[in-house]
Amino acid sequence: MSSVFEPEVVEVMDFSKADRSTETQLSAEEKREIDAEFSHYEDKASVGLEALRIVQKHRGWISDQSLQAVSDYLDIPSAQLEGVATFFQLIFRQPVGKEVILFCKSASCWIMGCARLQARIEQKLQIAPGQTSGDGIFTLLETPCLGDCDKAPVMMVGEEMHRNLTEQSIDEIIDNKKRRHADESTD
Amino acid sequence: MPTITIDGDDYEVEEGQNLLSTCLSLGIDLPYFCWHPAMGSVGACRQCAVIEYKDAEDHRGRLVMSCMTPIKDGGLYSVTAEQAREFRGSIIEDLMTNHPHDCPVCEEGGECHLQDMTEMTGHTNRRYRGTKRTHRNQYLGPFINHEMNRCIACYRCTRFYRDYAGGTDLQALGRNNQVYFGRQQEGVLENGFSGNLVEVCPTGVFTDKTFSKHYVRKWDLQTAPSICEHCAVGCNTAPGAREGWDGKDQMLRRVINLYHREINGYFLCDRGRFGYDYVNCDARLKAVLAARTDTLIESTAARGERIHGEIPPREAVERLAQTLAQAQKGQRRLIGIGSPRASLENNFALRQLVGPDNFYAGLAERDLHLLHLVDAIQRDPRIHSPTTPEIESADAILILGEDISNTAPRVGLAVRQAARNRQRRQARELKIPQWQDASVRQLDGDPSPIAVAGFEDSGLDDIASSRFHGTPEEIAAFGHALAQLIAGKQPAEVSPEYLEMAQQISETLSASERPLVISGCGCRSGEILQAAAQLATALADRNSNPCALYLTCLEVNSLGLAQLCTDGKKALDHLPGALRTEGEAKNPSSVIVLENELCRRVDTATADEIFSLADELIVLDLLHNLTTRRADLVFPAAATVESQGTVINSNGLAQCFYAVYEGPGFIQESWRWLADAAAFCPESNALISTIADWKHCHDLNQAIAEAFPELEVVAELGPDEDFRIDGLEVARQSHRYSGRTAIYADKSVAEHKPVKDPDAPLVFSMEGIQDPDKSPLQANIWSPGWNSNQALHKFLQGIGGKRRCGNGGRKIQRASRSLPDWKPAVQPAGEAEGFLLLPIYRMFGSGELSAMAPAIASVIAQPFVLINRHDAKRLDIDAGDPLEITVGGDRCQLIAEISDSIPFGSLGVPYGFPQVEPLGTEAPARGQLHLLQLETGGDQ
Amino acid sequence: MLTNPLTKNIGPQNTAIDLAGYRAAGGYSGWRKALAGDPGDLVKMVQDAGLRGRGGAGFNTGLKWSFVPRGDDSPSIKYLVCNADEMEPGTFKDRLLMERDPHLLIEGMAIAAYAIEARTAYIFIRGEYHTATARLEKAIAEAREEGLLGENILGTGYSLEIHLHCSAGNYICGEETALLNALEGKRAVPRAKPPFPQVSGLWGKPTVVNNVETFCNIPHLIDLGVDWYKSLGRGEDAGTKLFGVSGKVKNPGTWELPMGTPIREIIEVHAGGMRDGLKLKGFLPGGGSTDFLGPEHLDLPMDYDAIGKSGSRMGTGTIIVLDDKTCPVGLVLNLTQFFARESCGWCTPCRDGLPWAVKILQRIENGEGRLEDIGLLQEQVRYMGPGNTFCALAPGAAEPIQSALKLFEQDFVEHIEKGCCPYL
Ligand SMILES: Cc1cc2nc3c(=O)[nH]c(=O)nc-3n(C[C@H](O)[C@H](O)[C@H](O)COP(=O)(O)O)c2cc1C
Ligand code: SF4
Ligand code: FES
Repeated sequence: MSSVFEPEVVEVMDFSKADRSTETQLSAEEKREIDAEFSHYEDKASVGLEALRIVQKHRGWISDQSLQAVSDYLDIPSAQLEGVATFFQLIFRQPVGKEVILFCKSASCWIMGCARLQARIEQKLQIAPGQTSGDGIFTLLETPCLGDCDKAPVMMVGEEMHRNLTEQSIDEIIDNKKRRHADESTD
Repeated sequence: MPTITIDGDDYEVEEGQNLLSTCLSLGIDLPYFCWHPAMGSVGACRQCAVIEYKDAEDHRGRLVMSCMTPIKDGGLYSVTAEQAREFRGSIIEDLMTNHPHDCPVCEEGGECHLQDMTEMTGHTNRRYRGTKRTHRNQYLGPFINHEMNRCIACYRCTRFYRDYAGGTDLQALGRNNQVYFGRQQEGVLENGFSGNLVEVCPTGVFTDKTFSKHYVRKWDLQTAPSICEHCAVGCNTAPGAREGWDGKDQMLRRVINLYHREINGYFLCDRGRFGYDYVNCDARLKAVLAARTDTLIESTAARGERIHGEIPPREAVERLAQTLAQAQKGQRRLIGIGSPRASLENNFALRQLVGPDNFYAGLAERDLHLLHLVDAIQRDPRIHSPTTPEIESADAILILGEDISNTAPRVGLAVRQAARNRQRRQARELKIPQWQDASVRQLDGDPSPIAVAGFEDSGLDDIASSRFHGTPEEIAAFGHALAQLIAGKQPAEVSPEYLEMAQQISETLSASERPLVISGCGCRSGEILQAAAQLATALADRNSNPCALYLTCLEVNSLGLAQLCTDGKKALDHLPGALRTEGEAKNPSSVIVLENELCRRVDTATADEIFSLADELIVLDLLHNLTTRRADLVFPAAATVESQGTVINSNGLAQCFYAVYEGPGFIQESWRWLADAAAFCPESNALISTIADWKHCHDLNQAIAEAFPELEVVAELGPDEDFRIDGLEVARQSHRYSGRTAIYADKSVAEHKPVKDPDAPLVFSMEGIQDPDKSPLQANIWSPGWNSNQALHKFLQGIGGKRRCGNGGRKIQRASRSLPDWKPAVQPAGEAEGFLLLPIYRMFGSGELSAMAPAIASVIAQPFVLINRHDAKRLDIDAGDPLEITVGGDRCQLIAEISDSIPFGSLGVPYGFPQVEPLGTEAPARGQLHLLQLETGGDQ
Repeated sequence: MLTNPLTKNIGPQNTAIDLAGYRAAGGYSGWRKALAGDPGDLVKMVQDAGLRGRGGAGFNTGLKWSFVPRGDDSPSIKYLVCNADEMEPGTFKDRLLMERDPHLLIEGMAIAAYAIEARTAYIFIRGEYHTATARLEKAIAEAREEGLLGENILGTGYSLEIHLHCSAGNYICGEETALLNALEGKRAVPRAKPPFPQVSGLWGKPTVVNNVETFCNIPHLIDLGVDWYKSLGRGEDAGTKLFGVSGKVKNPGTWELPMGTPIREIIEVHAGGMRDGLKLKGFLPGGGSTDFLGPEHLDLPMDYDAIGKSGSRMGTGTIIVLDDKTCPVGLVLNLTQFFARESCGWCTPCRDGLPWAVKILQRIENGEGRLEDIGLLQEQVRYMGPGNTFCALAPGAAEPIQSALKLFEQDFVEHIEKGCCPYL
């Protein structure tokens, strides 16, 4: 039941990905980027969200270990940081696929028939919103208005906007991405 | 005073308040959730809506949240307007969409603010047809249950835990109607005030886990006002008891806060709340024990421990009476050892029985000296012992050497509130009312200046503006330097690196309007106390106004004991010598130990000497301990909740506690055992017959007042046992106390006659005064429609005011005496051998009785030794390494903990921890450190 | 005379105008003018020009600035914040401005910062706006390079840094006090007022928060003056505004038009009218949190007060059109789901009332509704009215519901009576 609300908040996922996301230390690069933010704010604690975003950029999502690492680095209690992390929907506290589809569900896109297109994605990837496809490539998330309503329906895949979506364009986008990731993994 | 109109009635009301608290103090029922009298308003729940009218012409009005509405002179409001009632109903209906229907199995049931408010708004019909959201609960440790489904998201828990108490591990998580109040990961709540969540949460999300183990409904609890016995702050409590399911004896079920404006207000610390369970623990003494003369098993005999068997009380009393008789005839020397954790009455009774010359304080000389110092300092007219609200309003604080977060936790909580005074002042300038909590907290404002000087990190470091870590000598020297700076003199002995800090602190203190100095006996250093006193008097001289100085004593009646035992030589250190002299004179001696574990007071060698030199050791106590194990005769003494008595807190406030229930088995007050023995004494004389005549607590109070004019107030503290209001005594049971005929039906169908309380005008039944407004002795805070603890406002003189029928407690009237001009502490002479051991206190572990409460016992840290990082490196010690410390003749094993703050060359050792008690008796002292070989495993 | 100050640099290509191009087009002359003058005068100018906030509430911008304490004993640190959290359903105007003419925003912010004597400014931008973020970042760097930002700007002794803060996707962050909490790295729950941000905002310092479009109005206003600015409006309100139309019209899009342009003109002329075969059933005049208006309101001018009097709000000025083949109940359900999900969870009517409203609407849409559900919904939205909740989110959420219940009551009834959605 994730169509209206996010999945339960402090759910602990059994997913264990043996990757950077479980690293308990911040990398030098992550630290450098976080440090660069310090000067922009009055205190260290204000950098919490930025730091989470930076770490997520590198690791794909924020695992408990990553959260702890940020908490240690910024000297913010982990509970406080969790309060922030779970408040913001673009901070992923569960593993996501390589491509996060932010599918606009808001009014204009809805009028323009986004429900049908969403069904298309769900059927094509065999996932419901909040889930990641079996191949680990796609995660489908419903998102509030993406601010491109005159070109509805729209969605964002990764950082790319896709506008005036149709069933064909959705097929193409997904297939292209699939191909790209297949190529990458055979390289 | 502004006048306002509510529903057509005019009221004169207090200025500066919000409409909600004004309505409540006027006795108008108005539902609310997120507001809390001690935490102010944030406007989250929207439950307290009322109508505000612009003027007399305005008939529609505007819906406003009363908690967020400052009252205006001439304001027109309606609580009962249809529109407001409907809205309030809708809020409850909204909250109920997700609230489970589990009242019958919910431990909040019957004292649930949500139940009360639901009733009050009249929401009875469920229109919501959807499913309810569900959450997973977390394990939060041995004290608190978590049932998140019951949450109505009033945010009080995190507002208390984080904003008020400084906790960092409980947070609002998630958003929208999935908000979740919990920890980042399951685990024990870290803050020492977590227990207040139980009372702060208006529903059953956070409930008392220790209570769950022996749960009964609030209305089935028998209660009386009591004083927390776990430290010297003197917090007022309302313990609740009920017949057990096994033997049908009453047993203590829980402790909750009992409001006392000047001391604990609305909050207790976790040691006080959860420490109660020691009275139910396995080590509890319930029968009279006598040492058997059979051959002893070797291993126990080695420590001189005896094997005891139960004997009939009468036999024991007669034996004690024989001892008394011999003493009266001069054939035996009778020595009494008092105790800072026993009431004035018990100490006084023993003192009378053995005579002042034979009455020992039950403390080491050093500790007795510290208490006398505290007493002397508090007698100086320039010193003022501040109440909690006074501490909260201090605008600059210096804490000298005392770890109050652990030795006087409730005072630490008050200091935490004082940290916000700069913010509060800014709010005043911006005309933002103080009760508008979220608004005040979001203002810019560094914490008010709070300087902390201690042996290591303190629980208040997060709000401290400057920190100083040092040995007792260094801290004392720092304090003296501050005193000199404040007095405008050149400080003699402060190292240049700290001079700047000292200058800055002294300037801040000098410039502040309400400076506060805190110190105490926990540091076990007379020099520090003297420095604190000098500082405070310097401030007082400067401001021509007494200076607030809070001095912590360590135990519930430390200061009371100091009043009864003014001879500094009557300390345990001197007892072996005295006993030896008797022995040489071939005069047998009996030592009567009153509620005291001597092994926590003096080193093992001294304790052993006392035990072996005493020809007869008679102990009256609550729990089996090292002292009772060595005794010839052990009498089971009543615990605080089972008895009545008086204690004097660190402020010199004498307070009375009352029996909540009758102790099980043969338990009775120590003084009653003594009086019984006197009554059986074949050798009667004036003294013996006076003692034998003591029948009521009040008799002793009278005697104390006569013997000690400074303690005269003790006789006026509470009503005596004959006091009646309209012919009635105060009921300990609620109107709804159930099963009083059924509970004994297996034995007899006739109704049980309630036990009579010989000491107080309180009955162990439901017939009597139920109204907390009629008597301060009524501890069941209940009012029709207000079943939860929120009923309290019905009985206060305004929100946050005093209890209408008065709070217990009177200050003892000590003759004022000016302090001598103490010379600054002498610098430590050269480098002594070994490490300097410093006493380290923990809320859980350092308290003797609370450590025996199972829930607390489960969270006591293993005995640790704090070692400076550099020392550890030098000695190649890692955290977790097993170490042995030898001091005097004692050796203790501990686990290394690396500290950045403990001074170089010092070791922090736990004070009073189970198994390593001797360390606490010695520190500060020089000791040796040895590395222990790690067990390599295998059995070579 | 310049009539499209907001979009004059925006061409058909999806690229941003760079600093050179911007200056060539006369850019930063407002900034130079401002720096030469007295901050207090700027505030007065903006106030006199009658510029009203474009973030939705329409508060006079200069008046807002004037609440910031000034003078020697005022706090030395002040902040300026640009609200670029655009997330209101159906709103797509700030994105355009930031992506295509980032320097216009920067110039506007610089002037505003100078006017309120702030030396640090933040652009609080939606996490999803990657293109806008990148282009703004570049533009800020360009401006710094040229000495238009940074230390000692153009030798005047005034210094200003503008930082970008990327949010992480919550509608409530657009509420200005929640935004401040988010900027401070806290949970984005709205703050209690008083104190108002202008007195005690970011980190307790005086702070002004304005919308992107509001700032974009400033440079030309300062450059060309109050009279010019006032003359732009067609009706009561001054200046131009970005108006947009989405939904099933022939030519959805965004246009800069004078304030007071009639709605009919926007929908029928600029948006090309309804798609063939569809009739206009109603519309939300300014984003998802405004009340539905019907065809009878088409001739209203897009002015704050005129729309206000008709029972709706100008909001963000981006119109969502509902056609006669789209289910109004479904649309209201969609909006309510959005608001319920975006509730911060602080106050009861919003946190618990909106999900309940979602469930009722869902039931009706699925044909499982009962007639009394309509009354229940009406009650719910009434309790969410302004002042009843802690912030304006829930009252905003209530607007489309309450107006749909009036305007499209028949549709609700039909759903219930037929036991299914008649539009399927
Ligand atoms: C729930 C909610 C969301 C809002 N979202 C935005 C937003 O995304 N962008 C914005 O500029 N204003 C938003 N606002 C309005 C702001 O609170 C604020 O009024 C505005 O930023 C002020 O700028 P202005 O005076 O320039 O309009 C929102 C208000 C509310 C109550
Ligand atoms: S109306 Fe209340 S719950 Fe909703 S967003 Fe505003 S403060 Fe949060
Ligand atoms: S008590 Fe007033 S809003 Fe909660």
